[in-house]
Amino acid sequence: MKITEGLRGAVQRVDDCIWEIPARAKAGMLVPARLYASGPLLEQMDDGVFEQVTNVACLPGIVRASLCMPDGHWGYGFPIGGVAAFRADSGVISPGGIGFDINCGMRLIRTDLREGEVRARLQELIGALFGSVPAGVGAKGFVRLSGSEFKRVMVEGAGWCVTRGYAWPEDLAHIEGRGCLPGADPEAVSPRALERGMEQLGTLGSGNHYLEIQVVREGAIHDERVARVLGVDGPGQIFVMLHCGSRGFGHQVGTDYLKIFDRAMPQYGISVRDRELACAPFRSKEGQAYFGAMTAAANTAFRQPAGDHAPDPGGVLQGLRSRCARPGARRGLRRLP
Amino acid sequence: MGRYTFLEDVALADCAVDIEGQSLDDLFETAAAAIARLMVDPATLAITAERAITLEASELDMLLYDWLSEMIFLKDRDSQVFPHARVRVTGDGPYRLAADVQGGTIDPGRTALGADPKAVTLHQFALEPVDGGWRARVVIDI
Repeated sequence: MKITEGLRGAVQRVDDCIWEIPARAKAGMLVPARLYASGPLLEQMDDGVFEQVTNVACLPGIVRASLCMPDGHWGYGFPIGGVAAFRADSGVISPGGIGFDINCGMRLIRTDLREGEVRARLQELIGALFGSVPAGVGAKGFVRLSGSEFKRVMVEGAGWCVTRGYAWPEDLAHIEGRGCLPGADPEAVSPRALERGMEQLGTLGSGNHYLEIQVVREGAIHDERVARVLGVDGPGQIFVMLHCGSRGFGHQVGTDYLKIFDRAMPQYGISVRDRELACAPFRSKEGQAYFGAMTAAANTAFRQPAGDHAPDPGGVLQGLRSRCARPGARRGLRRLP
Repeated sequence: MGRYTFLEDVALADCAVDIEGQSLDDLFETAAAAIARLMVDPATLAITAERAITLEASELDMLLYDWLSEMIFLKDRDSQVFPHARVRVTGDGPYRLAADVQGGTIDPGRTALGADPKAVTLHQFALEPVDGGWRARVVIDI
């Protein structure tokens, strides 16, 4: 990625924490770029952010502005923290905007466990979690599915977990869209993505994916009302936090369509400033196929048993139950929104 | 074999690698060794598996993209890593690759694990002839 001279210098202050790069700052920009950050945060953003947020401003059909949130930093195509809306009728869809670990995110699970009872068995618990939550290079999940069953997961998302007993029905209320996005098209998913996905169901992954046992500290509750709603009782309470996503399945969907779009762009008269921004008109057959495959990947992320969006992060609960809970007790385990 | 260098200052959260080879075949073989090293310590991997791989791409750089993507796919599907490869690249668009690879299955009890690559990116992706051979830069999402 080449860095355009003077982009940082073109940033104009709009408000205390709103900054704008006008559309005239770089050839091809269709709308301005807007960055949301304090002055010190803006200064710390690397040059790649300014390049990428203005590259996004060049994409066909973009509405009003290319946005960058306060966590903006260098990404692939879009900056991390990049947000853009595109016209459904004349705009594009790009894997670079959606990200490759499709529907990755974090999930917080409350428990009634107290720090004392967990800390006393911490080593044992860590061993149990490593044993029950597959993680790292080459790890396989504990769920074995046929291709047709995996396609059901793609369409049903977290609801599939309820039907298979991996979830409590009430958990769905705490997941975006009840853990199922409409429009998934398993037929738009390549056999290669299918093979990668089936093997990784229920794995945590590596890199920035993690699982943490956390404890509420004294003075850490900043809003008592919200804390009560979320089931945060007070200091010493144990929570579980996970970060996961669609793993290799989502990456394969992204990789497949990045290549398809790279080849298709000339026929739609589209050129991009960064190959990671390869895209296609949303209404084109390529665009619609990607949308269907991307949604399928998002729904599988909702059901990762060891992952962030899972109604029942089976391995985690198994580890906690086996070491810290009375037989049959849920110990207040509840997913949080 | 050629040489590879992992770069610390190109992709902060991911992995960038420069690869050099005396020939195109050499570069592809070295690229396989590089991504295998990223995933595991090859010295701790029992060499028990062999495969023949063929690929075709309309552009030469995308053939390298597909080659490395294949290594990631085999790691995910079969838990296998292939540090050793004999590669022959032919054609003039489309370009074809025929390879025999050697490696083994990851054994969590024995194999020293590294990073878990998810995808090859097109960020700063480059493959070009240079004096005395070929050079590539690849950023791998981990």
